[in-house]
Amino acid sequence: MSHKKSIHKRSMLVENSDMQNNQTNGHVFVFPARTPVVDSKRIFYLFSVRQVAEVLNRVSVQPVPYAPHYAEGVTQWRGRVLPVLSLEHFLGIAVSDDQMHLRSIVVRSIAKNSVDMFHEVYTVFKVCAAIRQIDLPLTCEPVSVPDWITNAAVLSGVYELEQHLFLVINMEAILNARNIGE
Amino acid sequence: MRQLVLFQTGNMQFALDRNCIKDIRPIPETLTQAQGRIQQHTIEIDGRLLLLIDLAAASSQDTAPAHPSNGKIIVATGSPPLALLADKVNPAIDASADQMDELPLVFAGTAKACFPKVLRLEEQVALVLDASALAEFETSAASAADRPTRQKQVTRNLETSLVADGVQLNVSAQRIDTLAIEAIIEEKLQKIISLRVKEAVVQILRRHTG
Repeated sequence: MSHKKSIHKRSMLVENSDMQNNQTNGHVFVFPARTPVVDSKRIFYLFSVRQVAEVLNRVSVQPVPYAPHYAEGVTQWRGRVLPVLSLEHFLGIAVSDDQMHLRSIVVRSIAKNSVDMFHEVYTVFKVCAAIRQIDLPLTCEPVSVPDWITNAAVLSGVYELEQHLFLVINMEAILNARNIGE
Repeated sequence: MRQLVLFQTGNMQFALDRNCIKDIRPIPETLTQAQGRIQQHTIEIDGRLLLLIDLAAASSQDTAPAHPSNGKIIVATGSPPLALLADKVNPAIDASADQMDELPLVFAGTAKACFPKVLRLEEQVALVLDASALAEFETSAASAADRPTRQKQVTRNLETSLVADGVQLNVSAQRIDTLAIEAIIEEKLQKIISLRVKEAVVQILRRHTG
């Protein structure tokens, strides 16, 4: 991607602690969304290196009847049963991945359990295969959440760079989706 | 250890406690000839009408075509009893508690109630079905689906009584719900009142004009 070359022009504004941690780590992962170009912008999801536990070539997904629309099913990963969720459905944008090569990413987050203890939780998302690792700081502008995103609560921030729109996902909102979904 | 019977419907795999299974019988020919999958049928088994559920049709993610001719119907015990469509039924397996995980929390509500556990197999997973929870949900869903029919009947009765009162109704009963019934009553009452007022005015005018 062309913006990889223009790293040192201006710092990217960061809103969440994961992003700040990874400025010190020096890079983030950028995953193309499973959606066509919207408003002449290509959509990307931005996760810190620490958040991405693994990128999988293929996963066997078991659909779950009566599941919320954003849940594609469950899968098994390293002896754990993980939910497979659709970021596009969370955001209310169309999925059009017929011609796309896909990958599945396992995203690590921290959540509180029923006795208020913090523990690691993992979630699987399907993304396009053209994954990039980008060095920080990244030159781009924070912008307001576009109108066509129906559920802004699942975003921590939106950044624009030329014809690219980077969406920073609020994993806490995703993990608490059972409270806001259905 | 629990003995679980694994069965497949569409692209999905489920596990059901062997103790919850009353009978497994061949699928009726009418269902194998059907064009697509329908989530809820009814079937008469041993003189009793049961709900027959196709779980593949209950998932928007599953796009499997029709039922194979060697498909089965699993009759599950429970209150109320329930029948399940299965494209394939495998022999029972012994499953230990450490092979089973909770369904992730993001699957709240009906999904979590009907499939509280997930069985880890070698390369895939199977949803462990709670037949009683599924029967309860599907029965209430069937009742809800039946509600518009009952409301339509109520409206038809209402129409009959009001037409008999000499006032014509012009109401489309395409989608009848409680609000629509209220609207119909309001419309009817307005017509009746206006008709009565007109009649009264005409009578007064006749009395005065001769």
